[in-house]
Amino acid sequence: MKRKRYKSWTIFLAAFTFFLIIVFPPVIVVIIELLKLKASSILSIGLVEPYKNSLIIASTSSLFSLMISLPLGLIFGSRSFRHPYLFIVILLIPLIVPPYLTAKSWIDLFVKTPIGGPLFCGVILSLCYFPIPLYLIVSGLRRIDSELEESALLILNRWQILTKITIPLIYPYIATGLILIFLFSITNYSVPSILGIKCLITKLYSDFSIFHNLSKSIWIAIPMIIICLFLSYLLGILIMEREFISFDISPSKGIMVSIFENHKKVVYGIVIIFLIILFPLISLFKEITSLKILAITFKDSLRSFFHTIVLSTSGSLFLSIISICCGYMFQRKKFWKNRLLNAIILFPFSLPSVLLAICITHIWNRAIFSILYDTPLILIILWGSKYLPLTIRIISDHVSQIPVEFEEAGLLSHLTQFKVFRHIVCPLLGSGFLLIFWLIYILTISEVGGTLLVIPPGIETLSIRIFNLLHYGDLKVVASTSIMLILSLLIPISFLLILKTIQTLKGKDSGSIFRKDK
Amino acid sequence: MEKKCLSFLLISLFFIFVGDGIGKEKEVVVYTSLDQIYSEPILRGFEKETGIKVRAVYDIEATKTIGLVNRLIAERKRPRCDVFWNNEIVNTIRLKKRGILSPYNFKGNIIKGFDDPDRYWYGFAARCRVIVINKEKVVKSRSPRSILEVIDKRWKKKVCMAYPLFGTTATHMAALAEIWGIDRLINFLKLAKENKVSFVDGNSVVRDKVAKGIYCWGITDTDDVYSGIQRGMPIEMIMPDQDGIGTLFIPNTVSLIKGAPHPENGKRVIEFLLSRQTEWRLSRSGSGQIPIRYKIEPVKGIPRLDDIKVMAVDFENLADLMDTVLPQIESII
Repeated sequence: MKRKRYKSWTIFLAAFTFFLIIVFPPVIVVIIELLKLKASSILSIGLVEPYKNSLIIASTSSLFSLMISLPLGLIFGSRSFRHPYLFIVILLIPLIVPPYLTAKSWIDLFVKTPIGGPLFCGVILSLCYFPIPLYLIVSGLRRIDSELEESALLILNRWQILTKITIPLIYPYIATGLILIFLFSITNYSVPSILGIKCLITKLYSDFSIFHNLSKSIWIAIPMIIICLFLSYLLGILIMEREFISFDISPSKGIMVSIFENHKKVVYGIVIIFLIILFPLISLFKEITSLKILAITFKDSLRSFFHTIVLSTSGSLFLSIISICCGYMFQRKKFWKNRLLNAIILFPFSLPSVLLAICITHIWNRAIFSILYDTPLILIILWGSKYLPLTIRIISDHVSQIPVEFEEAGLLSHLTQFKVFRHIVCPLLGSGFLLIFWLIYILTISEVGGTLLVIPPGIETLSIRIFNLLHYGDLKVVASTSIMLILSLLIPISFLLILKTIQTLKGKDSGSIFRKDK
Repeated sequence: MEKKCLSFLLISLFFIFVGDGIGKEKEVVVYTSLDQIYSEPILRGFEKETGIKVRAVYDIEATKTIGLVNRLIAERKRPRCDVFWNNEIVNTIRLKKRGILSPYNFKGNIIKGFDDPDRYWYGFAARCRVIVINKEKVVKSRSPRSILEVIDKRWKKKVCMAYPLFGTTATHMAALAEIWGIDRLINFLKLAKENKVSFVDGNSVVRDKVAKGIYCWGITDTDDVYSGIQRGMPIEMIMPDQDGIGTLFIPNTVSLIKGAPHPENGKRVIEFLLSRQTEWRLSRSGSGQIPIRYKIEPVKGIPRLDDIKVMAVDFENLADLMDTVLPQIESII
């Protein structure tokens, strides 16, 4: 019996081993280098201006994201909004378009104005990342018990209900969203690089490129590491034992009270959608004046297109499977109950991909690891080290919404733990699997900083190609290649959505979610 | 559904692993710091002609050349690269001095001053370090004629250049160090910083910012200015210091890496890059490079080598100076 039990957890232990091998070695390298630190060395580096710029970028990005996402969240999170699927699709667009393309579109709009600086960078990043807190806010709003609002309506007006009841109830979701935006913004390399801003991340990249000195690179990253450590601890506390993503988007859920009248909602929504979402796309498409250039660019970029699709799809699939196995294990073994463990698991996610890539080069660039380092697998290691902690947390959240009684029933029927996982839990994790697959896919396709450092010779992703082309300024070629990038983002998810729709129509939908009774 | 996912995963992994390994004998790895938009068509031409697959690594604008050089140094115990195509010369010589290059007997003629007498590297298709001005902001009669005008008070906050730690800008600094001495160079950069000269991410960024009128003029390369003029930017090129120390002339260089995984294919790439056809293509590409190996007329708007007063420098000396000068420059910038 014991041997059978041991065997049934083997797959989870294997996934956990992968997780440890992929995610924690760069963190260990960082810690070892930090232990060799000398205070005088940091002082000589000159980090005041980069540090100040990084903080301005991240803070501006978080604040602006809140200003956009909170009103939108209150619109989409209300019961009167009848088309939740529509908003999910439309608001994926800012996440799909890589941030550096959005930056380029806005820079070109103000072509004669010397626009730039960390504030502008922060605003651009907020336009790219605002769907993240928006989804979290909507998740939170859809959990609110409508009876609270109904009772409050007897004595309070709607503004008072929103400020005294609704927003205090969703503050963990707001705070989580802001922290995620802060982390994404402070570690983003492409936009500050395009704008020529001297911040911690660009200094880290260029310094490593000049001197290839691992210790010095990590010393430069110290302020960022401290901030990231603190924020990952905070994030851990906020989301600990809390279901921070709701997978139930049925129209019957949501708040009753809204700050907007119906027509104002429509106007606000249209303005936001046009300005923020459609503008970068329109600005790109208008550059394409001839089909011939489009055809030539497509032909030249075909190899990159192929690399991008294959690498990101297979990487996302592999990492999603690891995430599901680890997420299930972490949730059922109650890893998330421990605050310190929360912070440790989330910490690699908060580190910039450039720093992770520097550490990965240091660890894996050896003859015995050539099968990894010299092949595209090194990219999967980089992406895993950055995104696995987040996706595992998301899946754990989803697992927590599945009643344990279902698994207990399976175990009572003499199924092994793995069979329970495979036949009972996995079918219920359909939406979660789609979400993390899509998330990893978008993030890996747009990833530039770390990918540039580790990508093997002969492999080129569309993001890197476009990022290089942006410097040469031929906007027609950039625009045409960007269309290929957007296509590469849409193809796999469209394929999966079609499959899911077919399954739903055939009545085989297994993605229903059960709320856990506490 | 799960079986389909698993099958897809296995097929993808097959393509990643095995697809990557098929036909390794018919491939060559080239690291190139010449802009991808110009170097890629040349390398594709080689692929088409020989059937040998080129795995190229391009450098990004922000860390031009030095990024690839340091990558080669980091990989020296286990080289992945076969051929290094540098868009300048000093860093190639630095690699030679560190024992990272392998000599190769090129079948053609040796060009004095542009080829290594020990045959570790060969030069072709060159560029100059030039001044780019915005025609709408700078009157031609009062336009800058020397790089020394960077520290002239009348140009305060109106000038930009690329970070002097990378690419041809770093080479330019090393050349000035050789002619002026290191102390004078450091003083020059300090004065430039006091005069609010802006240091930006690359020569093409210099050109773009000058073209937009953000700055009146800047220091960049001939190929960046030429490509901007072709695109209709309101800019003009000036050969600096024609009455003084002369203009720095920087050739592309190509070299074979010691311990290269595919040396024979690497030699074929070198022969191809040093051919008349390549130099002609580079001169006719949007970069307007200046032919030096073969008698080819440069495109209109690009000067001939014989028409320029060239800065007299010893590139071997510059390579030694670079290691001393770069950390000092970094502390100022």
